[in-house]
Amino acid sequence: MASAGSGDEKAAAAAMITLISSDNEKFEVTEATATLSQTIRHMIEDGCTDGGVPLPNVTSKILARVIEYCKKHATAAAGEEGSSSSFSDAAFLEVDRAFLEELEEFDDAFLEVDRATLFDLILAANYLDIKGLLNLTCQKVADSVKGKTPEQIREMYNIVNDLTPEEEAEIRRETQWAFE
Amino acid sequence: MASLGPQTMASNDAGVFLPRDALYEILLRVLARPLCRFRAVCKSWRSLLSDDPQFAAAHAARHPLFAVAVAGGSHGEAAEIDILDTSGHVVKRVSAGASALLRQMLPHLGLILTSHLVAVEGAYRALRVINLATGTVSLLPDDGGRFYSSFVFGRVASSTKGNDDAKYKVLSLSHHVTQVLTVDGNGTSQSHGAWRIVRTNPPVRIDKFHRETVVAKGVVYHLVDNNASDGWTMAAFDLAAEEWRPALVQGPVAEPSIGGNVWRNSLAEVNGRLAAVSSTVSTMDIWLLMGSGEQAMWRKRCRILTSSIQRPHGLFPDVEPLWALDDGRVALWVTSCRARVASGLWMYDPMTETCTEVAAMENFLKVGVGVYTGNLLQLPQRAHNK
Repeated sequence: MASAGSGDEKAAAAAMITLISSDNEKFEVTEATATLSQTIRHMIEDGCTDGGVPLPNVTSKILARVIEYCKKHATAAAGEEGSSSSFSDAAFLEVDRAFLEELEEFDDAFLEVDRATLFDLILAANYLDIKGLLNLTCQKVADSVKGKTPEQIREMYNIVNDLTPEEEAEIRRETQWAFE
Repeated sequence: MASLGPQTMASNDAGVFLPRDALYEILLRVLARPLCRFRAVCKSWRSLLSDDPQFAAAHAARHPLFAVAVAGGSHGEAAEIDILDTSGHVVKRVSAGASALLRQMLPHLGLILTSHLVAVEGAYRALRVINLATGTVSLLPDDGGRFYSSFVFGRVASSTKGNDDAKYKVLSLSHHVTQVLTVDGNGTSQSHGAWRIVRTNPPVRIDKFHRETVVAKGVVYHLVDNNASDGWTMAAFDLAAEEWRPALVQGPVAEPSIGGNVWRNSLAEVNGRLAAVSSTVSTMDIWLLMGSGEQAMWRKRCRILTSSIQRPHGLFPDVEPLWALDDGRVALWVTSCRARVASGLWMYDPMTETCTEVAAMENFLKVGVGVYTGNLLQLPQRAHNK
């Protein structure tokens, strides 16, 4: 862990990446945090991150949240590398479990946002290719729609029903079991 | 592009616009049953959920479905096939006809082969294939093996993409004669329903197909020797070429286990591949056969800790892996002991290292279970309906 004052400043600086949001705000993050995004990882591998990484699809508000997520989960990933997956050591397991619980609490709190923000986070996670974040945010929405009727879905998302009554009746007939 | 600035963010949560890219990712994570209902939301949802093969394939890979055929007991006279999702919900139920004298139910992918013991017109068995998508039942011709036949049923590995020309084959074994019958993707027999005698012999003598005879990627594997200390061997039959392979296939070499001695080596079809399963009283190691032909090799997939599975009457249950999900969970079929005792679909979670029952089947005479790859999101062809 890079604590303040320790280590070579140049080495630390070299491992920093600048991300630039659509509204031109700059965010300095560590390479470990940034590479949770496969998109950015590939850019780093191709050596095209000098002068910052412009992210024209992500606003500063959303980027700040995404970085918050990546920071937390990058520490988690680093922790995982340290511990072996050996399950014979009970003490190790306890530590892992406590950390996983903490991560779960973080994720739950992270998802406490309005629906529009949630969708923006999904789009950002999709664009930046951050598997964990995409899964987390999409699952949240998926869980909220799974018990709904088509009418409720339309209402939730302002969708106009452009199916004819005949078409709708046919869908209901074809998969009657799904409506029971 | 979403151009909402922080200040213009809707404070009211109702009626938020749902971007299409996000919609795709979200609906991938919803189970098939609500998705079928969501076709009635609007035209664009209907087209994504009914006519997008890419979406349907991605969804199927994420949410395997299991066909569980149950007959007898409290289910009464009728046998039925339940299609279950990973949370144990019945998403579809198909009638499989009378359950009297039902001997075998072999689900494989979208079809299920049933064999009844009957005596009609000189035949001693009635072989039927039920199409789980349409519910249609086709009677297959008799193989002439009288009481002695045992059967395997599986899909031929397709060389071309797309399932429209999917072919299945029934393999019959009686008196050391192997016969084969082609069945098309709808379940009806082809080539005027003629059984063909297989000219090659298996590398070892096989008396009967049994529950360790499984089909994966167009090859029938039959466990012939499960000597726990020396690994295990199996005979292989190529469904496309209709011949026994000359050499036995060697199972993987088991590692020393923390769970004690291996008490059972078994075969299963997991994620569409042949799986070698080595069980101790508390662990189950799963290897998958990767690649094909000469290049085929075993790769360790996972270890499951099975000690959390109940043991009624102190008997060790039979545990068969069905599917390993992307998130690490593994779907298992657990048979407590012989018929009439609870069996069911269980889910192993590596995070908690425990197995949980998600669907229980009780009081039945016969049960057959397999992965259902027929896609609920792809409707049965309308032309087949009247």
